[in-house]
Amino acid sequence: MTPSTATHNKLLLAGLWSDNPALVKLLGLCPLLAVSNTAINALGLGIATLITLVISNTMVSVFRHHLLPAIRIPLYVLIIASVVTCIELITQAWLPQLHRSLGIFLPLIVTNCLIMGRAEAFASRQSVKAAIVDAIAMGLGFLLVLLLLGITRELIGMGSVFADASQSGIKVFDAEYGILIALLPPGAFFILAALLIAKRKLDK
Amino acid sequence: MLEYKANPHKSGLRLSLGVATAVVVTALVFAITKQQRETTKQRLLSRQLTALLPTDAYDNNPAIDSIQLNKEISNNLLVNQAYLYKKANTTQGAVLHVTTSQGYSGDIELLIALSQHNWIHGVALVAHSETPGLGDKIEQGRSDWLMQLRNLKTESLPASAWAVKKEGGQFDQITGATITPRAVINAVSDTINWYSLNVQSLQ
Repeated sequence: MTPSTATHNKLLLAGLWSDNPALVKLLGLCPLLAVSNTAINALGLGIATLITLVISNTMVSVFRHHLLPAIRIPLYVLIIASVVTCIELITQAWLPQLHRSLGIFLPLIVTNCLIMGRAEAFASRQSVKAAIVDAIAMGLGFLLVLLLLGITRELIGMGSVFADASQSGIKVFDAEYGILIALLPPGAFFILAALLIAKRKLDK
Repeated sequence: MLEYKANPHKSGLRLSLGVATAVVVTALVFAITKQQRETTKQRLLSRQLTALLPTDAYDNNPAIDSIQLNKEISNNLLVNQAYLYKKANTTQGAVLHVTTSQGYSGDIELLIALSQHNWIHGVALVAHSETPGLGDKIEQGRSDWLMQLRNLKTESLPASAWAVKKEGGQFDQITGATITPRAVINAVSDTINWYSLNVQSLQ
């Protein structure tokens, strides 16, 4: 194994498990809790966040020698905001259903501190390749937790998985027997707490 | 180590360069997607309008024959747009896009299809943020609640009928949600009254 693959593996492991942005750092909780009420929404926002993170990390790393310390924060904001705006315009054009169900949370990716955090803590001082690997690892880590939350909440709350307005998805039991609280904001906290406990137990 | 001895000229120049690049890139993406965004919006709208109107009631494209209104008809109801449907160039009625602020959590946007001959063709939900599992039963995919507003003759509905059954009206309630159905029913009833007074200006 070359040293570079070893570093990459370490980065992947950090993003997916040992340093997971959602389960360990608890970053980006606002979209994590708000948009995880159905599996489709969770997947949509997870992918959008992943793409934003990869592009912003790459750009920050490419321009890292030009991002003078005094102006680096506004430049991160600028990069992230432009990327998110472009993604929003593209989903609006080609994925209108997704655009509608994500609503305000799509533009709010700008304020996800995970993306800013990775730009400042990692991409601004690492090679482009490492920054991309880090972005994929962290983005996937976030996506998977978001998806797990979404699947669990939809299953408990409505008895289905991956259902949306036009298709019924995988039906497990009738929506009438669902436990409503899982779909409401408190349910997001309960299930996230359960995931945090599970992770700590597994780590022991 | 980061050095914090800022050179204002250099920093300013870099920052403006960054801003200029960002503006150019977003403007480009905006321009490239413009056409497609318009088409998508029109297609979604046409699909909703076709679902609401009987196929033999019109032969124009109501999505194009529209009038921008943005008129506040009471302090909680806004008529945004009227899509006129016509047959042989005579207006038959209008699909009104309205926003009510009486929802349980935020605005509810509806499309209300009305004919000039005192018919309600139907009502469709455009956007809402009602409680999942309770108020969101007004969505067509979740329950048939909105279907009771299909093909109704307005003359057969006195003012007192515009409420849910437990409040003395004639529409079904939704268990666990009082405010949401009330908001929708009030919005439809107010829109019908407004339309009957303003039908001449919507031709």
